[in-house]
Amino acid sequence: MEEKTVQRSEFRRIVRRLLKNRRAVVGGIILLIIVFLAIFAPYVTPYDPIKQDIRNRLQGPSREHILGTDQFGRDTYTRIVYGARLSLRVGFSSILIAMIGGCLLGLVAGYYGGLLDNIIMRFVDILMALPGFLLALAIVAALGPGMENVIIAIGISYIPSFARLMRSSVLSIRELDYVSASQAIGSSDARTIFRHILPNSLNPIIVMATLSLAGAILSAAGLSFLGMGTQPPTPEWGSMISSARPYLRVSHWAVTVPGLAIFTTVLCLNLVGDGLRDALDPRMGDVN
Amino acid sequence: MSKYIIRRLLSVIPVLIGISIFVFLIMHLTPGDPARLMLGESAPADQLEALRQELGLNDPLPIQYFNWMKKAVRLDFGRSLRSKKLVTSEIMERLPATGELAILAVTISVLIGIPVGILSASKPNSLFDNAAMLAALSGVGMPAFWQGIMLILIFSVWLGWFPSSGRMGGLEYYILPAFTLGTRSMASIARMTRSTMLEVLQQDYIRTATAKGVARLRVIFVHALRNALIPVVTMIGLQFGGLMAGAVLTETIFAWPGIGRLVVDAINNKDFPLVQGTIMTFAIMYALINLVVDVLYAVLDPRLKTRYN
Repeated sequence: MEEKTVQRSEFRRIVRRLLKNRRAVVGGIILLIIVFLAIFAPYVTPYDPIKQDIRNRLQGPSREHILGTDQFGRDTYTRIVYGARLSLRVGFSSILIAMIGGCLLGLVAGYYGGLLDNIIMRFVDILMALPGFLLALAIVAALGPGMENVIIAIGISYIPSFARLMRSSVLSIRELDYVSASQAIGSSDARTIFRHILPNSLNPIIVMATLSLAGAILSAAGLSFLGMGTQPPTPEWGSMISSARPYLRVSHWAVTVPGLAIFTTVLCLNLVGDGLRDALDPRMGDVN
Repeated sequence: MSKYIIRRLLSVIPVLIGISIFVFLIMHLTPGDPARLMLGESAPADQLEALRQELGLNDPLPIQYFNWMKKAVRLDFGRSLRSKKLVTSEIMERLPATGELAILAVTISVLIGIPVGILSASKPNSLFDNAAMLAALSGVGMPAFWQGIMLILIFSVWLGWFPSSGRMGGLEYYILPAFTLGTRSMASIARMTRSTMLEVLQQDYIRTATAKGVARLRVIFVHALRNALIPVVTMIGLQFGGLMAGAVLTETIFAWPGIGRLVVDAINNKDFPLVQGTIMTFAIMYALINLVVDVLYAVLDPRLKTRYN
């Protein structure tokens, strides 16, 4: 009971600090709106995202189409909202893969040390031998184009950063008294790791997950732009930009708007991520 | 110092071996018969068999890797399936274009990023600081491919100042791609310079200098900047990695004949030897750059140097 109260007040303190950060609050609100629109896409959009209407192609904003139409006459606003579903899903799924994979590797490497640590960290080094986006590109080149493969590729490309972060926090926690105490009363390794070490090293992981989510959405859009993600006609922000690009000189709306969508989402995620980092680590507060 | 460099150099080898196994497997992870993927569905059986022989696809995987690796260490990745030219010479033809672009991009990002960071840190929370940091945050979140297209829309379609693509020689061809490629690092450098400057400016020796009556400008440029720049230099080095990734998108948009576009074309054409060669080239360049950065860091930071002497 006592422990719960302490946890709750700590949580409240973090939330209070986060809410005092105006940028993070604005970013968070916009993100919530994007998530809301994505979830309720069919109810908040006036058109079908796939059905073509050639007579109304490449229009600017009007009362019928508030953000204009693309080269097939499809409503850009509708496609953006449906695209948000895909981008968010890809972002969350790939970061989930990276988080689970990276945290497990980092926990095992940091807790057991020795040979196991060495093997795991050399494997992580190999994953880091290419810049993240290029690694993802190479994995998609091997697995073939498609959204599932993009998720896997981006997920793998983010494993190293989570593994290293997790390992370093395990190393600093492992020597603390409550961990020794848990071992002394005969807890199993799994219990020590998941009950004591993992919960106490989650803060930096959460911050990294938020910031990586932004990166993952950018990478996914980039891969789709190169034709390696979702295939048309599925509405996806990156592929919308690449397929409307040849008509840039006629009407730029179908290119401009999806880019703004990516940009807004990524910017808000970065704002929230920065805010979370400051709220979870008050020592940083006076510098920023 | 040389001991450190040698140790660091040796540590690159297992990493490159690891990535070479992955690069080698790219062709074999792809579902389906590599020979058929390369030649197409309608290829006659004898042609398929000839290609399998040529690529050694009938051998067991470890043997194939060993044979591939024997050539790869001499930078021989075979011939491109499409152009029939040597992969290495294709890469060598394209490398200078990417190199020029990357160097120009880093130059722009340093020349703008560092002064902006210093100005921001010298007047924290001023109007300039807030505007600059918002711009920097936007620069980090902007998709490079979209930014490139927007620059084309504004500066070549609407204003007609710069050409929209290609590399025909003149400086005007470089401006938009270099700026697109450099934006992200410019933003990161500005943010980093600002935060390290702010940290250094809080140190005791800065307060001492100020208390002694040293002019504010001298405090910033002579006392603070030299220490604040150490992490920034490392970061500039690390930006090259991001630039390589950025080059893939930037070169695609501006039809820039560099290695970034080469790898995209190779992937789209299922030109496996070329894919393997270009990705391996990226890995080698990345390893070398990280090596140089680490050594440079050790040279710049005397605390690290003493540890290895």
